[in-house]
Order: sequence, then structure tokens, then C-alpha cells
Amino acid sequence: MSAFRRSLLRSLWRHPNARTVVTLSPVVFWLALFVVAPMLIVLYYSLLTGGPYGALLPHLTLENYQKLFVTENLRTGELEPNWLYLTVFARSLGLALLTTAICLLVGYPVAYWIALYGGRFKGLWIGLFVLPFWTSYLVRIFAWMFLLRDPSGFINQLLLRTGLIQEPIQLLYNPTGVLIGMVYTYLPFAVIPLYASLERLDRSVLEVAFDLGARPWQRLWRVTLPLSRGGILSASVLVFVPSVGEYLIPDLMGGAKVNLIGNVVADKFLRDQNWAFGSAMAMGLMGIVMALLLLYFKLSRSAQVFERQR
Amino acid sequence: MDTPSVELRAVTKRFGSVVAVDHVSLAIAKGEFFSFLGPSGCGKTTLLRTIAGLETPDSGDIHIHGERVNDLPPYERNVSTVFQRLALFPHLTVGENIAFGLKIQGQPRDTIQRRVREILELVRLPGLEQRYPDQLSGGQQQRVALARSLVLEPEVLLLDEPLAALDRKLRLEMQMELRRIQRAVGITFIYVTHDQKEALSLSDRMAIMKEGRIVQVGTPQQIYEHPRTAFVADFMGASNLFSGELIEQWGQLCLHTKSGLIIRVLPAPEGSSSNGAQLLALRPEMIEIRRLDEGFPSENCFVGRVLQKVYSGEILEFEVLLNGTERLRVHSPSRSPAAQIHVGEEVLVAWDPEAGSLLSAE
Amino acid sequence: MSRGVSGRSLFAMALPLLILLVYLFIYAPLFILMLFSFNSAGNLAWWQGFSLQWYEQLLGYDQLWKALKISLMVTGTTVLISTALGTLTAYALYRWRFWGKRLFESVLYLPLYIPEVVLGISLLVFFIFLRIPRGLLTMILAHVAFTTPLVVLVVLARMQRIDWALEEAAMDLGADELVTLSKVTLPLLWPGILAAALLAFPWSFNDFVITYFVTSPGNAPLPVLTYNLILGARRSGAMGMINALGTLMTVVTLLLPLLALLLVRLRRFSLPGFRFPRRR
Repeated sequence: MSAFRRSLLRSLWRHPNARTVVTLSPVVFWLALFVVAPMLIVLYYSLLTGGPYGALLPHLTLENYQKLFVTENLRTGELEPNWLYLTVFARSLGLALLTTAICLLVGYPVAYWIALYGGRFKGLWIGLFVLPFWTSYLVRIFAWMFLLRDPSGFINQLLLRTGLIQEPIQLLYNPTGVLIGMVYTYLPFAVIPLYASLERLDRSVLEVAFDLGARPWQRLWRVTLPLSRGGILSASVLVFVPSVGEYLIPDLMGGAKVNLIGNVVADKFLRDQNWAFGSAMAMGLMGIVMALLLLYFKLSRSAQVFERQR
Repeated sequence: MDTPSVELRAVTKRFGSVVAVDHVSLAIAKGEFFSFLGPSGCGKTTLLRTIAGLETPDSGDIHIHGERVNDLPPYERNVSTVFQRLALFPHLTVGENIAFGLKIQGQPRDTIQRRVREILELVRLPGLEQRYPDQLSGGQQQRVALARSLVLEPEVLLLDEPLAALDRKLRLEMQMELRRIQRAVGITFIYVTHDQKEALSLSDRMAIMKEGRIVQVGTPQQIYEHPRTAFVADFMGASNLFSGELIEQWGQLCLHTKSGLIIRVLPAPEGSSSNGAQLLALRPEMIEIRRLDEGFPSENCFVGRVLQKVYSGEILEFEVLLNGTERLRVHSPSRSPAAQIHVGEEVLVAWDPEAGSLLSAE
Repeated sequence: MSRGVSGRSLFAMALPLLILLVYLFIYAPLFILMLFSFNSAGNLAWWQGFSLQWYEQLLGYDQLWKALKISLMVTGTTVLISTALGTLTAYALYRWRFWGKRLFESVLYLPLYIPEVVLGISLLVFFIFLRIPRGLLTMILAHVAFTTPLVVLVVLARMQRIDWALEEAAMDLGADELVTLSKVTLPLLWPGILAAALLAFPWSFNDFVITYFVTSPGNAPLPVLTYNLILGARRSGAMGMINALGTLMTVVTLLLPLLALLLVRLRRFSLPGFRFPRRR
């Protein structure tokens, strides 16, 4: 490097604003172009009027958003709730809620056990939990399809051949199948924050609780759970947010019968060529996610204050 | 007089509303071992970092060997720092750590090797070039940090409480080493510490700092024996303080305490008021304690009663009540006639007028 | 007291059993998939006999090699770009304060929160809007956007363990900012950067949803090919081949994060030229 270029770089580095701009401009450029701009275009499209054959007419309107909730009765011309999409929203939220609840119920004991009884191998136990997360999401879903199919899937074969059932049971291409897939995929998202908060927990507090005569369940309810509030909150959000926007699991395991918001969005774009409405639907999903995240950041700040006081 | 190694002129550094260093002016001579001593938060580390170039002063000038260096980054100043946490590069061997600065200067390979070997011998760690810092003991790491800075032969070596993390025995050993090495290389050392004993035993001169200001500068003996303020007297070890009126009688200066003692004193070196309310500091070990039957040894001599006697290894600590109200602390060697004195006994305490020092108001 | 003790032992006994079941739930599907990739029957999930026919069929499938090539090209480029971008970003975020930092951070991590289908559709719309033909380029652009935040998180985690007095020490010894960066900061960050790259690899390689929307049918990377095979298998019943493909993908992608884990955990790891510092 020539002395001139070197001194130029050096004086650049010494200038706080210049160095920040130089260091961050590639990332800012990338994010602006390939994250923010696409979202803004979708936001713009959601305000346009959808024309025939997938055309987008430049009349700004809120009609697409209105259609998410209400529709015009073709006979009477009156507005009535648009059950077609309201059910999709309700199903997405319900399924995400159920997934979150199951992940918390299953994940909490696991995290509790690893954090308190994991001993020297804590890292290994938690590592084993995270590991499958780095394998192909598609392959994991396929593995479950291979297990759940009827009648040739592994579980049905096992039950049929051991004589536990006489008729194959349907586990795939229904809400149960989707739920299993979602719990399987997002369980690590619950276990990791729960583990992190339980690991930080001061053990002597638990011992004191026993010392003061608390029964195991009392201790869990009165001491451990309240102290791991922050972890429970993070776990809930980390499971709920991707669940509510899930696309692939209902697509493959729901057999087109368990459509979630994500599937409808994709269908509007890829199949129906109704970009304006699809955009509004995508923005609706974004709205739900953003609202949750904002709520989370607000709550977690107060939870943090709570934990720091301990 | 030669150009001072470091000269500070009204150096001030603020962090937000906190004034960490407040108009500090000072000159440190070439080859001097100079210490900044003060409680934590007194600004001594900030001052050191300002000299190193790791902080920029808000006002005032810093001169190193006569050159104003305010705007020079650390790597263009001819100073080097031994950090409190040592900051040895964990990814480099001892040899590479020491060679780091030389390599940047672009020294030829064989010069670097020779200098590294020489400096390792100076700090008494020969043959450890290939080790990594985390394979060394605390004392050895200390020596490597010192060697890494010394090998550059800086005008000034700055040391930021380098011995704070070591245990007592190792610390005493390293103090001796530091002194030996400093004499061997003749480089100006500026040393920051909160340990009075360390500063006293190491320094040629020292400065006591409080709340960003220098309270007193002097040789260890001057500062220890003649503190100028109550803060210095207290910080340099528990002192006896007498408050009273200063009155000149028969050509001699005396302090009349509220309890009724009349103590002969010497005038304060700088013209502090010779009359009015004054504080007198007196070191416990400057006081002699005797049994009543042993006679009057000195000008300032009082009778008191022993309240307490504590044995603490090399010295005996007495607490003596004078005039029914003044409590006086007296230290005497364990193996002296004073060992025979018992609690409750009436004793004589005495000291020379030179032993006490009048304090100026802060 | 006796109730407390019995309650506790019941709890202590039930818990490990539950844990065992959960780990079974996590790993059994993958193991069964792997096991049945060696089964002679294709669709039936019951053991019929050992056979390597699905592997033979898979390795002879020319689409696979094409898809693998595309995947490696996309992921390789993505890992290089996003590791560089992410490291720079993490450094700036960790060391400096600047105007708009909080806004920047929230946009930076956005791709980790946005539902994949929304990001995928938005990118699809965006590329159509700009008339950029979908293919390798669009996949790389999209992958870098959602891989960079991951790299930032991993590198930031490493930075938290670095003693920044080392940078001051280097400058004090005469190294200017650039030398300090290359001789001290980067070598200390190395393990973090390497771990980030090793985690970014499967993150990008395995992505299906976003990739699906930003690629064209002629440029199907491995996950898209797998998806097409799964859709086909529902009818034709070529599940054995997908089992074989899934086994290979799982084994390969698991090796990388394991390596990353080892790199971060290992106390001493020497290669000629550099050495990993010990964790503090």
C-alpha cells in the first residue's frame, strides 16, 4: 500500500462520521434495496386497484384492506363479514397460539432439566437440541410426512402391524399434521430462551424456597416461573411470530386443506394473479408480526428491569 | 536545566459534567521515577491515558521531551504503556508480543531477535519466546508486558497500576524488580497507583491527587513526613491530628489545643498564616513512649494513660489518652523497652517539634 | 415433610423420562428417514430389506448434480459476501456510536423476523418491477439480505469476549489504526468470523421459501429440487430417493455447524499462521 493511500485511509479512520459511512454503506445499501424497497413496493401495490387479468390500476384505494374483513353481498349489496379470509386469519392465529402453548409446555421442563440437572454436559444437551435446526427444514418436514402418511407411513404401519389399530388413521393433510410439523420445527425456538433465563437463575433462591418449606409445585409456581418470565416471553414471541407466518408446513403437510395467511398470500400472487389483494394480505401479516414485536420489546424492557432488580 | 521528559500545563479532561483531570501542571525530569498516588476515581488513570494519547485533553498542553503532543495519536508519541490488565496479545507468543512494536518500526529481523533476547534477559525471563501469555504465571506476564514496552526504548514509560492484580509477596518482589530495571535502562517511569507503600518505596518523586487536582508534589519522605493537607496526612496512613490556635510566644511558635495542650511546632514551609486556627499532623511512629520513671527526653512531652495496646507483628500500637480528651496513636518497635508498658499505666509521650507538620486549609 | 419428599421424587423421576421422549421426538424422524433410505421398498415405511438402489438412482439423476452446482454457487457467493458485510457491520455496531444506530439495527434484523413468505413475495415483486430476470443473481441478492444479520449476531457474540484494551495496547506500541485492525483485531475475531461463515453456509444452503420465490424453474437449487420431488412423490411414490437425498443433505449440513461449535469451544486450535486465543 502506498504511503499516500495509507495516510488517506488512516485519516479517514480517525474521522468518526466518515468511517461509519464507509463501513456501513454496503450493508445499508443492501438492506435498503433488498429488504426495505421490496416491502415498500408491496405496500404501494396493496393500495392500488386490481384490474382484470392481473393488471394493477393506479387508483389509490383502501379497498384491498377492506376486503380482508368485509365483503359486499352480491344479492343484497350489503356489507357482511368476509368469512373466507377471516377464517384464514383466525386459523393462522389459533394454530400459532396452539403451537406456542405446546412448545412452552414441552420446552419448559426440558429447559428446566438441562439448566438445573444438566451438570457438566449442559452445553452438549442444549447443542443436541439446536443441531437439527441447522439441517434442511424441507428434509425435516419430509421426514415427518414419511412418518405420518397413511396407510404406508411409519406410525400407521407400526400401529397396524402391532394390532393396536385396525384401520389406518389420518395424521397428515389435516390440522393435526400441520400442528405436529410446527411444534417440531419451532420447539428449539422455545427451549433456547427458556434455558438461557433458567440458567441465569440464582440457585440459592431456589434452595431458600425449599428451606422456607415450599413444596416443589409451590416453588415452581411462586419462585421459578416468575423469575423466568423474561425467558417465557421471548420463547412465546420466537415461536409465535414464525408460526403465524408459516408457509411451507401447511403447504406440504396441510394438503391444501389447512390454508394459513402465508399460503393465501402466495396463492394470490402465483395462482390468482391478484397482486393488489395479495399485497394487502401480506401487509396484514406484516402488521400482526410488527405489532407482536413492538409489544415484545415493550414488555421485555419491563421484564429486564424486573430481572435486574433481583 | 535539561528539557523535562514530560511537562503538563493546565491539563484538563472532562467526561460529561465530571471533571476527571482539573488544571494539572507538572514537570517530570528525564530518568525520574514519578508516581501519581490517589484514591480510585481521583483522575490519575485518566491523566496517564492523556499522556499516552488514549484520551485527548479538553484544554491545556502536554509536552513530551519539549514537543507539544496534544494532537498526536498514541502511535506517534514516544511513550509506552504497561496496562493495568496487561493487555498481552493472546494470539501471539511472548517473543511476538515483544517484537510487535519493533516489527511495526520495520526493524530488520536479526535486530529484532537480538533485542527481544536482550530485553528478556533484562526482565529475567530468558528462553520463554515461544510460550503464549496464558502459559505464564502472573508475575511472568507482568515482566513480558514490561519488556514489550521497554524494548521500544521510549522517552517515557507509563505504568497503570501494573501490580494491582498480584498477591502481596509477588508484588513486593516485582517492586524491587521495577526499581532495578528502571535504574538499568534510565527511562522516565510514570507510575499510577493507589497503594501508598508502593509509591513511597518506588518513587523518586510523587504527586498526591484528589478529585482531579494535584494536592502535593514531593519526594516520598517530604510527603510522608510533612503532609501539607489533612487529606494527604490521612491518605498516607493514620496520623494524629491536633486542632488549635497558633500563637507565637517568646519567639517560638506554639499550638494551643482546645484540650489545653501547648505544643511547640516549626513554621509551615510556605507562608501559611502564623496565627489563628490550625491543624497539626503527627505520625504515630514519630512519637516516643516511655515509662514515667525514664525522664523527659524532649521539648514536647506530655503525661498520658495507655488505653489500648495492640501487637501487630513488627510494631506495637498504643492508644494514649492525653489531658482526659485527646487520643493519641503511638507506634513503637515491638522489641523496645515500650513492650513492658501495660494498659492503664501512666506514661510519657514525647516528640521533636520537627516531627509534626502544620497543615494548610484545603 | 413426607409429602414434600415423595412429590419431589415423583417429579425427579418423571422429568428425565419426559426429556428422553422429547429428544426422541427431535431425532427419531431424522433417524427413521436415514434408516429407510436403505430400505428396498420405496414408499412403504416398513423394513423390506437392505438396498442401495435409492442412492444409485439418486446419484444417477442428472438434475441433482445441476441443482447441487446451483446451490453451491449461490451459497458460496452468499457466504463470502455476507461474512464480509456482517463482520464490518458488527464491528461498527460494537465499537462506534452513530446517528440512527437504533433504526439501523431494527432494519438490520428485520429479515430474521419478517415471515419468509412475505419477504420472498416482496423480492419477487421487486425483481419483476425492476425487470431483473430471476436466477442465480436474484438468489444471491436475496440470500445475502437474510444471511448478513445472522453473521452480525454471531460476530457480535464473539466481540463481547474480546478485551478491547488490546487495541489500545497495539496503538501504544506504535501500530496505527489500520495495523491494529489487521494485526490485532482481526486475528482475535477470526474464530467468530469463521464460526459465522460456517453457520451462514447451512442457513443459506437450506433456505427454501425465499429461494423458491426468487428463482426461475430452470435454476432450481437443491431445496427447490427436493420440494419438486416431494410434490411428485405424493403421486408417483418415489419417496426412497428423497430419503436418500435427505440423508445426504442432513449428514453434510450437520457437519458444518458441528465444526463451528468445535471452533468456538476449542481452547487451543493451531493452524500455521494463526492461533485461536483462549476463551475468557
